[in-house]
Amino acid sequence: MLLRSYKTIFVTIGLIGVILLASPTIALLIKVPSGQQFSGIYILGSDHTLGNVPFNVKQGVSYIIYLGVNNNLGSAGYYSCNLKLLNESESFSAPNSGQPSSIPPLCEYKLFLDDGATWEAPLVFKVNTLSFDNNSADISSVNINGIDYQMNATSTWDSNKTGFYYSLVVELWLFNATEGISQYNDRFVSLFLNMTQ
Amino acid sequence: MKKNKIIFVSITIAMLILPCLCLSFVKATGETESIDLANSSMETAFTNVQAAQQVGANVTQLLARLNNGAVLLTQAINSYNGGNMANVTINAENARSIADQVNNDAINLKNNTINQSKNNFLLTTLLSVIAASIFVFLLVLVWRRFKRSYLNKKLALRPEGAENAS
Repeated sequence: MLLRSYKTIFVTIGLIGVILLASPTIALLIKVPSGQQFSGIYILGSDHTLGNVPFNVKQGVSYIIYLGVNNNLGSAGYYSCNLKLLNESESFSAPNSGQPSSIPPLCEYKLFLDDGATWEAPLVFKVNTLSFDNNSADISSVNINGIDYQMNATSTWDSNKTGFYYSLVVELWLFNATEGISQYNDRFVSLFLNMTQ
Repeated sequence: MKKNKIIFVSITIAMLILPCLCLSFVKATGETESIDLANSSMETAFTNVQAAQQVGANVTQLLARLNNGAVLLTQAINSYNGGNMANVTINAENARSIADQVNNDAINLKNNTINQSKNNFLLTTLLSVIAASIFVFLLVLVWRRFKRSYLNKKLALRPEGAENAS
């Protein structure tokens, strides 16, 4: 083996060694790109499964569901869960439309989540005042987590699905620190509820 | 005469009702204002907490405290939406107070972390430069020694005739 070949080996070892020894400094300077950044929202039934989610709702009966939010943004997030009760004619946000429902929220849940953390809280709801006419059902008061909310939501009889349908919608909003405003995160969960006597 | 009496009674009733209406309006405005202020404080505090996190600070404790404030703000907003004004202002002001404290702590934590990061960076860079220099120096020494022994070995292997001829 020629001396030049040995020199090449020494120079290579030298360069590798220098890079290895400088790696702690290089690691401080180079930011590794993080993975996909997203937030999630979910609803579970009373036994923390999807199997026991309420569907047929009666006046004066309390129903419990669990509302959860998880943060995979790579940093802390300031969330707001806006809860709305819509009748069948009121449209809620179409997926990926970026637009929330225009109906004002009944109540809100504000929370701060660190990256990778999950928040889950019970949501107990009860229809206080439900009246039925010939062809329509009308909700004028609901109770959510112990607070009564006055409202006026009328649903007409759906002959195809045979029921008076409402949707309990929870929209996820996220505070954008750069712009200084809370923005709809294009994520929501909804629960179809059939009002029964 | 009767007409004047009706006007007088109407004005009296209006004078009694108007202050009540104004009072309830002012009260509602006060509650809305305290919610808005608390919300604004929360957003400012969160912005600084996130900034502290971005420079490498551990913000777990700050987020836990902000969540305490968020619970109070949630109660204030939902009570207001439900028409129960009893504890709206108190809850909103407590939420604001927590947010303001967290905001100050977040700013301090961010500044401390930036200073600490600068020191850590300088120390790491210095150690890297020293370690790399020592490594290169030792490698050069090894190379020189290796080169010498290699050349000696090569010279020792030269044939006798070639040595005489030169």
